[in-house]
Amino acid sequence: MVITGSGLGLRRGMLDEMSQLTKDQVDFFEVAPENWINLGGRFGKAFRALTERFPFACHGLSLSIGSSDPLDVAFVKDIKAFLDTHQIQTYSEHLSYCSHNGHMYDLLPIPFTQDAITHVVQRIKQVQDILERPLILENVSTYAKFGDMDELTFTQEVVKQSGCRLLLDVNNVYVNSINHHYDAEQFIKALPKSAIEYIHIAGHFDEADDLKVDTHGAPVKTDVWDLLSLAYEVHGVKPTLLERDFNFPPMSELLAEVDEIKQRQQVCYA
Amino acid sequence: MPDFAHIQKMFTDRIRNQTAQSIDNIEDRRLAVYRELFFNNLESFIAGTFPVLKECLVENTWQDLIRIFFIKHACETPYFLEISEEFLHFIETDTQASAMLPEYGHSLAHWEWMELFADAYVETSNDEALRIEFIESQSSVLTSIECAWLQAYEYPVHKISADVEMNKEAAFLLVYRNSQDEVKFIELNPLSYLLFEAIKQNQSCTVEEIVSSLAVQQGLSIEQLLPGAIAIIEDWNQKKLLKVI
Repeated sequence: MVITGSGLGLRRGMLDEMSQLTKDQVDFFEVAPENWINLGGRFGKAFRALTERFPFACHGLSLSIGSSDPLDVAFVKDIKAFLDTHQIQTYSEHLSYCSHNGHMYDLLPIPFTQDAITHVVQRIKQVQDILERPLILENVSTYAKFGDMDELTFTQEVVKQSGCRLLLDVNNVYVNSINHHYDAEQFIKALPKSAIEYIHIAGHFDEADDLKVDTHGAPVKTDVWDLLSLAYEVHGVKPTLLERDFNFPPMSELLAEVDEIKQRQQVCYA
Repeated sequence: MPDFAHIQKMFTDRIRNQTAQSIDNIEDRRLAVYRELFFNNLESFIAGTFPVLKECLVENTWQDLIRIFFIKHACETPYFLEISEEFLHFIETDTQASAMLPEYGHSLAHWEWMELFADAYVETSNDEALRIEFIESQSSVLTSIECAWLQAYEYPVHKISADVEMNKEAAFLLVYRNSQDEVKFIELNPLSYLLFEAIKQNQSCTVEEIVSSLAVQQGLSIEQLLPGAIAIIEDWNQKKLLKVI
């Protein structure tokens, strides 16, 4: 099933509550396949039941597309089997790396260099061949920058050379625009319109005035909501997912943010 | 090594280990964000599986243990729930890590991991339909459900907490997932442990035959063993741990 409208990240910690939701409340769910592959028992059954009721997107964490460690081909094949089993079409990952001499389980900034582009592009093609689906890559939040290129040029080149799709995370654009001193609006406007597949929105943590951390542990900030509307105006309305991984509020507060996404989508349609 | 790979090596070394070679052009506070995010993330995955082990260690020891795991071990699994299995294997094989644990540390860690394993285990057969309501006679040919695992430990791992003094004393435990998919366990004695093991391995023997060969093995008569064995088998049957072959 194809995702549309507004969605919510499915978390094991909130599985009971999320299983009660209806399609009036949430259009689709998103999961990290790494948390659900090889998972039987109560979680496996609850997941299966939900995939029969809702469209799902998979948003992976361990692919490590930018790593110089070898690509884990067996893992990519596991992902493919999982997507096929649950009839999930949308698979996104991060334009990032999360391993070097072993997995590190969080996202690292790819050095923005020509040799990194060549490396990433070759791996994207390899992954797409195995998955028989386009690979959708998300712009990630970073707190350090390496390499002689800027993020926008690097991203544009990767998309151009590999034919991959983009998951635009508007919170990450905001966070990086502060952390690395660039114009968030200009960044969004300059992304290749035809490549954007869907959108993420989330809250962040203010470490300092000039350093923001993408924690997914707080409500979405006003400036970030405005970037979402801008993205809709520039690139058209896209399926949009609210990410929340920590400090879970009552479900009503999460749903209010999902409704906010819907309203902003409606405004753009109007 | 290409430039980007060299940068990745320097950066990840420094995230794992504060004493690794320093990197130019990165503010300490920005490096600190990565160091904290990565360490705390890894710590929370491991602490989630081993809460009792964590509680039984001094806070600094626990932190040091996670740190040396992070520095010395190259994690292979892309799956978050399997990090604990790599950690378990690491503390069992790495001498530096092993030396930081109490005597019962390996047993306790294995027991805590067992609970996660049982919870997440992907069942390959549809056992539910095969469970029986009662045992008709000693002539039933039984085996155990798939989601039942025997474990023997040198310490009473199921009773360990930070407040309890631990003495060496063998523990025979049966971990299982019930029909509501909840993980439960039963404490066995050495004989009932052997009986369950024989039933789990069973392919064609009747209950009477299994008890009979167990009696021979233990130097007991079948009359001595059978009544107790039937009672305990009935208990396992009530708990839906058995099925007819």
